[in-house]
Amino acid sequence: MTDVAAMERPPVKLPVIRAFAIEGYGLFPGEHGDGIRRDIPEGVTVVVGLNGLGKTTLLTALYRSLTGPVDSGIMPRVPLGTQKPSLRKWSAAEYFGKRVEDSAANATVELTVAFGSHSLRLKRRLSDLSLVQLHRDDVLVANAAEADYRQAVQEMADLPRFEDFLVLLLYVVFVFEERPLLMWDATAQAELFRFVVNPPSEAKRYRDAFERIANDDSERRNLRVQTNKLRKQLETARASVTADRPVRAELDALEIEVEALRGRVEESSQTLEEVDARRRDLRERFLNEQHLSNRDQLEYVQLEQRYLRSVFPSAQETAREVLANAQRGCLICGDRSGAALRRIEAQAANGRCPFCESPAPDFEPGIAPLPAVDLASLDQAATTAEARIRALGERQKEIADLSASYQRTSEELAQDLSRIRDIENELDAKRKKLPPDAEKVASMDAQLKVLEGRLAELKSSQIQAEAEFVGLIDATRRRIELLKQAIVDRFEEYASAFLEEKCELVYRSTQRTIGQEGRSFLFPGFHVSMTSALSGGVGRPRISKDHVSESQKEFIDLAFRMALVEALAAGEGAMIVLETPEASLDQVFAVRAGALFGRFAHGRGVGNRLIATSNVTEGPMIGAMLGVHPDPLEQGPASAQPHFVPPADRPGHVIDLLHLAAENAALQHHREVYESALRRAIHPELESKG
Amino acid sequence: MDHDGDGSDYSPAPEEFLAPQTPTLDETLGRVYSGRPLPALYGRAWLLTLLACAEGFGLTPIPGDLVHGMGLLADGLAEVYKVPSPDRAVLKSDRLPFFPSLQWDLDRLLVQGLLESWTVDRESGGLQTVYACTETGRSMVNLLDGSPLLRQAQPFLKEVVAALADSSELDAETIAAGDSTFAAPARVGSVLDFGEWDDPRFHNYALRTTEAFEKANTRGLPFGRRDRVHLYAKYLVHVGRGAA
Repeated sequence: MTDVAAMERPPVKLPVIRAFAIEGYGLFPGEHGDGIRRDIPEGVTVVVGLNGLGKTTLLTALYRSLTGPVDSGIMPRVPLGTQKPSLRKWSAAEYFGKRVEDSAANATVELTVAFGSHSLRLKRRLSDLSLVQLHRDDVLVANAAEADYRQAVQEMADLPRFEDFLVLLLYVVFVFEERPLLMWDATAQAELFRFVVNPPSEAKRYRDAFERIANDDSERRNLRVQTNKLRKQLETARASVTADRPVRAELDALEIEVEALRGRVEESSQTLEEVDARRRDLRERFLNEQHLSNRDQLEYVQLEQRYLRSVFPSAQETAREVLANAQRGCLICGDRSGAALRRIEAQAANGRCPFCESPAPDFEPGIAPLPAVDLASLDQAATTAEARIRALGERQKEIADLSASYQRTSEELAQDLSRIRDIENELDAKRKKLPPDAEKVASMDAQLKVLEGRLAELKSSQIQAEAEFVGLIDATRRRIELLKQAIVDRFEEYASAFLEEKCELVYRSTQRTIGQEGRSFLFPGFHVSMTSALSGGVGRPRISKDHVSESQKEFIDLAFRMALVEALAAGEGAMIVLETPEASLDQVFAVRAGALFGRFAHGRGVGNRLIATSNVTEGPMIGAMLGVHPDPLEQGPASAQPHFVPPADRPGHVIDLLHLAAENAALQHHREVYESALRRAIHPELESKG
Repeated sequence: MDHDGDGSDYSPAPEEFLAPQTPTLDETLGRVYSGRPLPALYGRAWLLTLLACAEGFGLTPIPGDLVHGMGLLADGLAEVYKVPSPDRAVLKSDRLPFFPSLQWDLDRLLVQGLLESWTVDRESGGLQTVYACTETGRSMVNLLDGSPLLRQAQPFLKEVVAALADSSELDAETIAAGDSTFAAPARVGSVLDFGEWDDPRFHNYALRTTEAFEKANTRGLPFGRRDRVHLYAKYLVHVGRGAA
């Protein structure tokens, strides 16, 4: 632990711009076309000009010279505690390039910036903000790269990270119109104090512990949601495993059934295949046998036909019996010479009927006797034909039986397959309704244990980080407390210049957690308490920017920044850059604010610098800042004021864009008016004499 | 149940004039001709066998009308023995059944000397032709036994003739009046098809009548195909008596 009491002053060294030059940039040709080259003296430097002459561009060029080609990504209106500044590329071409015709191709910006007793001199191209040259304490850094610049800044400003430097610029040094309000962002104050009051190593430990707590907390919460969900699923699953035993029993029974069916289907398929093969084989044999049977039948039929025809008397025999009976002679004429017989023989030899001389029809026995048919062959043919028919009949029956068996098996198979489909559907439906099985439950359990283990780790890690952080935040708090009074005092002085109401800065640590859960810590912070016109002079805390008016909140924030800068600079010189501070001030307060800025810059003789832009108007702000108007809060002439700039020195405190910037239409047409107004603002005494 | 050759009363054993049966044939042989025309001369051989059997049973000389009546009986009942019959259709007539093909064969058998015929006086007056089988004809039947188809038909034809011989009252008129097919109501001149084109199981009424006998045998008495033929003959007589 650092010995806080031993610290004489905060370690941070605030940047103070000592000089700058912008060359080759069309927007700022300078009086002689060689650009602008100016020292920034102690006290106030007012950048004066009209709208559109480049006041904001000039401030931005200074600002971007310090940041380099990166941006922190900080959104001004979002609490810093919820953002994570990082180094993101920033497009200079988009900003500086687009404002001129040559895209700022040859434009450079040079800057001399002091950090306490050290200084950096750097030169960048405006087109891309790339580093051209870097001098560290007037020593040229050879082949300097952006990393060298950042390293130099970190070391000279005594900051742990370059990102912290960007935060410092945005929240403290540069007061742009569109800016974050440090006063009203407790998380920004905490973050700023981290690196401005703690040595870099401690600031780093602070940040690491802080991020570890935030990350652990975030991860733990996310993980806890998952863990709880898993735990609930596991409980449900475990409960269901018991409740679903009957369903599992049904499933088991169905699975057994379907398995048995599958076995039967396999057997049936095999049987079917065998039966089909056999019946096909038999059919083939049957058809072949049928063919043989037909042949045998035909042979038998032909033999039988021949036999029957051979049995009955032929026409020749009949005629011989009727017409040529040897004993009776011709039955017609009684001739016994045998002439009839010869005629019969002759006709028969011609194949004609001896009586009508016609050829005998097929269905009759024929003309001449037919040769005898071998009876044994006929019988054999008949027996063979008959045997064939019987065999065919048997074969047919066999085929019919097999076909019936095939049909039966097919039907059984179809039924079994249908049943299998039904059971599978039922199984699917039941399985979908089932909770995870034991294996799954075990896996869930294991997963839950892993998650719980990780949760415990995170918890332990967070507790460890919190323990470390307690020490770090305590040290931070104590260091701020050493500065507290200085800040409060300065604030009171500055705030009284801006506001009629009495406004006090109150140091108060606030109990807050880093994440959403876990240990809470006392974060140091400043709040304001003020009286309003209606509160009868009794102060009451205004801790939110919603509790004050728009202009009040901006000037309270400005007063806080100025007080803080002075306290942190601890007499080594500091700087604040303001963009058109008079914008929201009325006539009275513009004079008072101007006087205040002057006092900040020249006060206490510590060499502070304040750069402010201002429009050329009849308003009193420019003169007030240069101390040319009598301080409305003090008695005596203007020249008695500590920040009074003698007339001869005033040009050195004014960057006159009317002469240095490229002429725009308004200036072209009304140059004299504007120049006259500027003269009156800077040298009111000459005007009154004149 | 088939009781062929069981020595019952219906078997007058005329086997002496029939050649001994060589191979045992059954109705299977008939199937050879189920889609094929029967052999030419089968009808003639069938007729000669019938007349030879009639000779054996002492039914000759047999009047021509009765030859046609016997033909009707044999054709109608052949299905009982599963043998193919030569005729399976007859023209419906208000007189007696007549088969032109049978008459053709009768004429040729006569000329060939296998049958003989003459005319006799009819009891009712007038002449009628009667037929008888000659010695040659009977010898021819022995030869016909060489045909396996005829050999299968012979026991049936013998049984038809035996049934006819058993009922002395069974004449052509009785057959015409009682035969379930011929006597069935039909237009005179229409074809009574009992198996030629129509299915005999539905259109052969003689066959169906014998089937009815079998169904009526509720006591389970022995009842074979020979019994069906004989009972049908008795049935015809019974119907004839009723008609008379």
